[in-house]
Amino acid sequence: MAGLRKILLVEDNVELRNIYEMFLKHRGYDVVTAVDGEDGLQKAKEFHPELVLLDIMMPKMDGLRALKMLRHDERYGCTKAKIVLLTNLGDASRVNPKVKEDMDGYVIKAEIELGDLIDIIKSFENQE
Amino acid sequence: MKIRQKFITLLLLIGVTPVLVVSVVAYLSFSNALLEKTTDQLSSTAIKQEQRISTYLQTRQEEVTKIANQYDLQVLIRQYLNDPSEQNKLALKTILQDKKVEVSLIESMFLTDLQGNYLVSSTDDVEKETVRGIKEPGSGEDTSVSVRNDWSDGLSRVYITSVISVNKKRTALLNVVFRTDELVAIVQDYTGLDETGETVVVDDQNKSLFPLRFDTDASLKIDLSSLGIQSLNGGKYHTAIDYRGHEVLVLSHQVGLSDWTVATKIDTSEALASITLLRNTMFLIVGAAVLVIIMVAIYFTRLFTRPILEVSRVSERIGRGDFSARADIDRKDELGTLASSVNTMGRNLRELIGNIESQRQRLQVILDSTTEAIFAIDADANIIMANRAVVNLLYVDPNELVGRNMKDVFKWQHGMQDFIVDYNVEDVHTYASLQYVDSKGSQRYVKLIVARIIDESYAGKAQAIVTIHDETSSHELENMKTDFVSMAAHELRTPLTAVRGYLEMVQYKQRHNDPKDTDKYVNQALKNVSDLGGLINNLLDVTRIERGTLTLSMSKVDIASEVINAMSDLKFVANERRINMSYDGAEANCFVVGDGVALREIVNNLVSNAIKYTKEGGSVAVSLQQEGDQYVVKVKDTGMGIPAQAIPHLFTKFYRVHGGLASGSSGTGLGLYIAKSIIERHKGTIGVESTEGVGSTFKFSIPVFTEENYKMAQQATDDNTDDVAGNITARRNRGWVTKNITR
Repeated sequence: MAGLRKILLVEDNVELRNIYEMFLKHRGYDVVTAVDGEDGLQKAKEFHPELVLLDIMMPKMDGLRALKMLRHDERYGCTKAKIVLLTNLGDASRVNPKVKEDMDGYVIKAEIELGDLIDIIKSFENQE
Repeated sequence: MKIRQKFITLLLLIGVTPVLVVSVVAYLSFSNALLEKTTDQLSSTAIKQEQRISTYLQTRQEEVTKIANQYDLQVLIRQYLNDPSEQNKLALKTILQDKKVEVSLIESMFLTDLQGNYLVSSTDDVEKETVRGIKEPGSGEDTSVSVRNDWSDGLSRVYITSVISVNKKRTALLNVVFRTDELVAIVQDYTGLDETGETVVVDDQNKSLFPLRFDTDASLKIDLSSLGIQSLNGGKYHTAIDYRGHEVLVLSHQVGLSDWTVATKIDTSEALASITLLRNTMFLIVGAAVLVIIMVAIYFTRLFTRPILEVSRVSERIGRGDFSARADIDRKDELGTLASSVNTMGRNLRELIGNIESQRQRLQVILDSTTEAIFAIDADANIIMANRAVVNLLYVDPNELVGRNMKDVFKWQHGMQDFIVDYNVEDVHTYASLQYVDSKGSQRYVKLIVARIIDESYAGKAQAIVTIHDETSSHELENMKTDFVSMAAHELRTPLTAVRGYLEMVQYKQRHNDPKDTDKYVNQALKNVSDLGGLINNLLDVTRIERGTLTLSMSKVDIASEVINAMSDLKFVANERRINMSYDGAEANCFVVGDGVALREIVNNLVSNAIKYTKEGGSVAVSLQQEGDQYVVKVKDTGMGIPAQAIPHLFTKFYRVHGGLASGSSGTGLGLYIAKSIIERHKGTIGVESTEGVGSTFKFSIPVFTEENYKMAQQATDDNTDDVAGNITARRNRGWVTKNITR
């Protein structure tokens, strides 16, 4: 199976965006980046990602709103895509149930190694 | 009946009753006396008249009897009766004429036989008609008296008939006619009688014998039976109607030697005139007396009731709550005492009420000064009272709430769900963290305490006291703190993630023997580590500010160079975002007393904020000017601006304009708080002017350097340096300390 290849990375911090993009691209993923929620929705419409890595705290539109729209609004073509919240906010065990329903994963950036990202992606591939 | 009427009535009774009694008694006795006097007068007149008439008649009878008993006359009568010749008749006539002359008052004399048949007369003119009706005096009587007016001249005359006995045998009747002048004179002597007094003489047929006083034209023999003379008992009077129709008092006496009766009478109106006068006078006196008594009664009533009424009025006013009412009565008697007692009572009440009022006001002040909103409610949760603090919850005057129902005033929510508060609790019930939306649309968080009123005597009016503690601000502060912790974690994790990422990249490169870019990654990692340190220092600064242990290294500092240095640190960031950054001001020699590092950091903070919130292609203009004894630094951007409602909170701890976590913008919300604290330590001010969508201008001012300022600042620094690691210089020097260590 081809697995997940198309990844949309929505991250406002330029350094982290660069690091994740570089790492994922290096591992052979097709990566498109967006700098905030609005940009992310726009890019999703054009790119039809299979996986969205979504930061929460971003200007213009935050990750949670973007998640809701991606998940429920057909126009963005992501209702079936895997969406993982990739954030440094809060902790994974205390996510709002409504958010939990819409997301496929919640990752605290500071607590994972880059390699763990690949494992997460792989876990979705295995589900397929 | 009011007291005044009662009093007047009483006084009138007391005053009028004796007057009336005395008047009635006096009237009765006086009127009796008057009546008695009148009747005495009538009686004595009647007696006197009767005596005179009797005397007259007696005299006349004696005279007649004397003639009748003369022997010569008896002889001649016997001769004539034996031989009624002209000669004997003439002899008789002659002797009668002789006898007549002997008694001056005799008008004429004539003889009849015992049957009344005319025999002979002293004169010729009365011969025929006057002999009719002559009767022999009753058995045993020798004479009889009658009054006749059967003469042609119409005048009445007194006839005295006497029996002539010859040889002890009744033989003939001697009739002597007297003129009545003397009798009339007697009867018409009204001496002793008043103007309407009159004496009448009647025979046994109640016929008047003499002319009447008030009807001189009337013929004799007028019937006077209406006077009821015959029914009178001697000496007693009675009232009757006389011949004129007048009401009269009548008194009568039988006349001796005849069947006549003398009656004296007087018009009642005259007889009682003095009594009427007495009565009228009495009425007048009594009336005047009553009038005087009424006036006196009114006067005394006023005298006594005025103070009573005044006191009563004052008491009533006091009763109604007008405690300033005073009775103005200056008297030495009990009423004066009463008035002054009432006044004292009024004063004491006023004082008491004043005390109660001031106590009530004190309680009200306490109640109104309490920040908790307090409601007193009845069993149906209707508001009976509310204190001033409710204004902060509901934005309405407390008085407007009275009568409304708690259930209508507050729509409670708990955890975003509608919630029904039971106001009818048994004891005390506390509802923590209730919410409602106030009239301005803001979410409010409160703690609600419903307490049953214990005092049974008050329970009828109020059932419970509801205390509402507004926890909105502390709730917000709590939220801000929670947000801050999350935010701080987030802000710390971000550079940490970057460091981790960079290091992993380096590791990866090394494993693959690819040294390209590794230096760059390491530098980036170091930069992030440095950011992390700065962040931690910021957090520590806040703690120090809170604890008052933030130490500044005060020296003579050139603010111009600090501003320029801070800007040059950010030149790269500005360029990257294509923001035009400009500086307007002196290049050097703008001295202040301050901590250069801290000031540079503030400028850095303001400028980097300006860059952060300004769109690409915008501009950030920094200026430095001296205004009076202050240097003023302004940082003006063309950014999004700050909402007006946010400006007052901008410099408070943890406050973030765009609502913290939910907004998606990052930052701890500490920069401006720290800046404000530090600027204030420099005796300066910091502020902002902003228009949403146009841009913001942050400015701060610091006093121009003077020796005096410098000394004061040094002094303050020495006093404050007790936190070894806690100063900004140390931090800037990457953790190693060169000065300001005092221990």
